[in-house]
Amino acid sequence: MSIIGALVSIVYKVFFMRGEEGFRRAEFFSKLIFILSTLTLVFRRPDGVIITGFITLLLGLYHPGIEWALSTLVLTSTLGAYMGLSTLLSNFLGWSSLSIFQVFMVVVRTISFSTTIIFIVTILSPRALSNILRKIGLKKLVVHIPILIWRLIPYGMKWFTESLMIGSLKTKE
Amino acid sequence: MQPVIYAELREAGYPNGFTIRDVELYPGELLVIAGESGSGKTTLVRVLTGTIELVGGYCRGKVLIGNTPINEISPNELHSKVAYIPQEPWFALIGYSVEIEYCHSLAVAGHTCEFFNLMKLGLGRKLKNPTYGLSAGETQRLIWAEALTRNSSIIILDEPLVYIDRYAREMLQSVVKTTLKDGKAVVVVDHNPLFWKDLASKIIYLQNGQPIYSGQWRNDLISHSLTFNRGVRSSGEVAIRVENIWFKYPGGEYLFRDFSLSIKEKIITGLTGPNGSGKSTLLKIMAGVLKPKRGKVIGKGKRIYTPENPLLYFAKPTPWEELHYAGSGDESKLLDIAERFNLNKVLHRPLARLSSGERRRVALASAFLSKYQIYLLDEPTGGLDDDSSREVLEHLTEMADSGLTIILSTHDERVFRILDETVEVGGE
Repeated sequence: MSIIGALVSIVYKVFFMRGEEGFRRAEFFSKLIFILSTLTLVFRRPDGVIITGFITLLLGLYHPGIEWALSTLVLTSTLGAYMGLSTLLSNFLGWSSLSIFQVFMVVVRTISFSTTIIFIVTILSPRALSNILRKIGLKKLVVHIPILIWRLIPYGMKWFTESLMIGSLKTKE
Repeated sequence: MQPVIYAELREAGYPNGFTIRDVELYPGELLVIAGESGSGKTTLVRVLTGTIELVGGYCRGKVLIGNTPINEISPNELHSKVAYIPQEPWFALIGYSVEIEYCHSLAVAGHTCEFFNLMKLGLGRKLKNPTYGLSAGETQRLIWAEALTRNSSIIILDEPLVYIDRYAREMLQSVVKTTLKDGKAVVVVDHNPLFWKDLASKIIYLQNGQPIYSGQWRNDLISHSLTFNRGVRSSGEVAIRVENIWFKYPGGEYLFRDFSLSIKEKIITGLTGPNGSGKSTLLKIMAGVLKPKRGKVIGKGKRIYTPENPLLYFAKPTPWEELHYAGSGDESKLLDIAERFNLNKVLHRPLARLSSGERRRVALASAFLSKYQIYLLDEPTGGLDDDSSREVLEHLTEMADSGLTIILSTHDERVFRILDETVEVGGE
């Protein structure tokens, strides 16, 4: 149960810990240019993702801060470990024949790529998304959806873990 | 003068609903809706706010806001005219931070985002905080601030006193007084209608979904508050010791720094303190639902925690199944506790369709049926009428008499009378 609680806490710290502050307040077009250049670097150069992973982690250290950076590293390392272990397993079963260095690079690229994506999601502003939806003339109720998602997911996670923990108290001997 | 809200209902609510004729509310008037828990107070509010159909109910009759039938008013216009603060205030928020929630709510109603009312209601320093970390009382104050700034002509408050401290209650009373002076109409649902006696002009008293009185305010209609006195117990043994804990929510400030506390066994201990001081958090830490960053909690005996939102407590879909599970299948115990907590009529109704007070009674009954040594109860009488509260309080004192430990957080003055010890949370 505590593993689920810890995982939920990490997801919360990575995506929902901060309100409308830091890079979220940056100008929409500057964020768009940053995202496009990052994705170009990721897809045009084989090891570009390592650079973007490093840069986004440094930026994330500046804001949202150390708590975000550590949680992101834990989350992305979990993904990296999963990818590394499954590659080793496929080596073991004879489906692939990658060297240990190549397996290591799979882990590093997974961590870097997921850090990049997480940072991009972190700097997106639900309020800005809502305003864009309003400007392109979507139905009035639809424009609330980005804000509502950012509100409901952490709240749902909080209730989910609280409910699970109470359930475990009920069954504890 | 034209009423700001007018309702004429042939039948409304859920099957076998109620009939209320000619509810009229004029500018500057306060209507109190009272009655025992489960009597239909919140259902009537849902009818008056046009939200009854969203929760599977129906309304035969008409509700007018000004001259316009409520179902012909667009959601945004209704949002501007009517401010509805539900009993579970967390359901009324849409924004993920205080600033976003406040400004978005005002933007929808066509207002600019000015923080005066937010500051006035004591939330100025929490602008950047995620709404996730607000206490129930702070959430209520945030919604009031929005309602005041939107300049809504009708303000509907469902059980507004449940989660707020004494200071906030006085503030609410003064805010309502000013609102009435400004020519707005206020509807309050409250199990404690006497709190409003100096301001109220009308009252509807409901029983089993039917109004037994609807008209001008009458003091004699309301039974006076419960008298409940008992001797104060004492105990030398410690049930739970909290040692040097440090706790903070992600992204927030430390709520507890090197905090220690001992709770004695076999007595009833109350955690009191202002909104946001950490009463619920402390209960959760003592129960093991939340883990402190540093420090430890040492306790002896099985513990259970009932949250302020009772829905989180349940593992089964109906009261019958929940109580059957809690009582390990002993139906005679189940029926006894259902009788005691007046749950017989709702035993087979889905929990999601129960009133807030009924859910709370089911959660408490379920916790009491299972045998624990330490009960951690968050606002155990929140939203309960005097009769239900009396049953709950009597049960708690019997449990303490039989050697169980009760720790509860409360703002309810009715509960203060049964406390053996009080811990003020948020002080030094």
